[in-house]
Amino acid sequence: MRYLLYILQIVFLAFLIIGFFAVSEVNKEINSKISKINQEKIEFEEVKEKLLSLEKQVQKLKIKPVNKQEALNLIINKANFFLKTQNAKVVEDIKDQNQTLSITMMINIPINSKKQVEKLLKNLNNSKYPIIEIENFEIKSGETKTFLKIIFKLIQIYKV
Amino acid sequence: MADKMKKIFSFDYSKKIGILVKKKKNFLVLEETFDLRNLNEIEFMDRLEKLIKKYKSILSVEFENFINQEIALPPIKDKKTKEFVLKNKLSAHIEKNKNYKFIPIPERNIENKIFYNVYAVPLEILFKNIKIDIELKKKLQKFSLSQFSLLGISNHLFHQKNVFHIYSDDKSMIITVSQGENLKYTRVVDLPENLEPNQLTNIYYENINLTYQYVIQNKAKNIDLILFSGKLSENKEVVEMSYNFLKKPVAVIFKESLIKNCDKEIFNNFIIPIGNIFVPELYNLLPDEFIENKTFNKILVAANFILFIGIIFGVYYQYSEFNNLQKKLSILDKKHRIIKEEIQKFKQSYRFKIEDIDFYAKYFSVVSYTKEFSTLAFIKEIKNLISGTEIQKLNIEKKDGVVILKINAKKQFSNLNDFINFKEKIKAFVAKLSSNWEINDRTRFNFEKLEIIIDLSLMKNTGVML
Repeated sequence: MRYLLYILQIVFLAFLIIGFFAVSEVNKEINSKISKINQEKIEFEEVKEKLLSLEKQVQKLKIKPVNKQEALNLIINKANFFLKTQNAKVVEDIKDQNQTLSITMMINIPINSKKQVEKLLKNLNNSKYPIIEIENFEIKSGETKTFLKIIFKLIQIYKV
Repeated sequence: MADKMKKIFSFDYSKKIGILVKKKKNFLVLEETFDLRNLNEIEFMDRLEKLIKKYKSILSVEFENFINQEIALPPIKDKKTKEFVLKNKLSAHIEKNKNYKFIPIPERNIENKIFYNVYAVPLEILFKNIKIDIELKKKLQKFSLSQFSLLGISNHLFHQKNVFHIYSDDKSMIITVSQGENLKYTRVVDLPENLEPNQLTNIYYENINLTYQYVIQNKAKNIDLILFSGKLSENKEVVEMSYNFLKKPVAVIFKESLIKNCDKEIFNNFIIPIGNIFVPELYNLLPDEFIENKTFNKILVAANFILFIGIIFGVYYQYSEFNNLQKKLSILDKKHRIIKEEIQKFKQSYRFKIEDIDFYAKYFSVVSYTKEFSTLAFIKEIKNLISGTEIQKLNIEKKDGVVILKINAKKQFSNLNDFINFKEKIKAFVAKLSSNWEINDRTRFNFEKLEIIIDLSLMKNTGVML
């Protein structure tokens, strides 16, 4: 009878030990979940921060998403502008890639003054819709005149 | 259960009487007495076994035919060896086939030898004379003789005094002479039945006197006191005669000094079972293996107790851990809910849809590219170098994250000082640029004409691509 009791106790103890390991395992699991959720919270805060700053920037720049048609119009208008005012030429046709429309143009004009160059560069640089990326910029003095050659790309993102 | 454990059942097997007492530090409290004389054999055994099963028990019997010899031994520490030597030395007195319990009482040391007063009691009195179940025998705390019971009382009350203890009941008279735990002499006198009180007194006195004379001549030179117990303590005549003729202090037992809650008659009748409780461990006749077995059981019980405590702690720990887990789970749940709500709330309050965000993200990445990679910025970087020169060619080309800047310019000087200054300026500038750019410098300085022809080619791999 007494020995049976001892055996029962030992069995019980064994269960306790197994239980102990089980609990510590579950504990570990929960701890890792808690730290994961804390991490997620931090990540969320970061994303939130970024999204809020995006909102602010958008407000500041007063831009809004355009669809593909609008984007095309914007690009064509701008290209036309350069064709008319700067005697520009289209070097590469309109490309549609990765939600982005682009067209590459070239200006090759004689320079009359330094100011003319600065103004043109600022004009290109400040364009928001579409954005203008200068790929090649060259000043070259000829026998009588100095020439300015710029190859640039009009880039317009659109919303799907 | 614990209360039961403190109770001790002590039984005189020969006289079939016993007591149940509670043991306090220095005395006993009587709980119950048992007189099983009127029961038949079967009823008696049944009752006795039940009592032994229930309580811590001590048993004693009356037995005279033990061996008492003085033996000299060299000092032997090991108990088993000592027993073996004793057995050999006593071989003339003991029966070969019988097992004995040896009680060696050291008396004196002479020349590196110890003289023992040895009692050898055959164990068959336990195994044969006592009829109870063997398992119950193993359970006994103590097994001893009526004579030893009297020694227990003498020792308990008078410690190191030489006590001449005389006990009697209806059937017998027992005399023990002892000093402390040292039993010096003992004898049992059976009393004839149906005697006149007068005759009985004579028998008493005669035996007391003879024994006393024998003892002081052979066993103990000095007797400090004569103690009367049992029926004899009531016999004033014998007590007085003993005092007058033996000329030694006489005493009867003050019952309160041994046991509480017990009237005088019971006390006198139950001296042997009471004395059993005070019998020193030396006189415990249980075989060693019974005692060892008990020790082992005690260890087992202790181990079991520790295990039990361990289990309790384990259960408590598990319980608190489990609570902890639940708390943690609820924290997890709460956090999860909060973050979910926050995301939901933010989603609802945020102006832009996911497609808008996608659009803006692309837009701003292009803007930041053109800003960081701005032609204007490159021109600004070299502005100091080319200002005031006659530019022949300036080319900035961007392709696949690589920027190449080519500068061809010329400057004419009217004095050497300006020429050298400008030369130093160019060198310092090129050195400065070289931290960011890979430079191919073919600039020429013509001292004769005081002319500098700048021919620089700068390259940088920005790694930034649209």
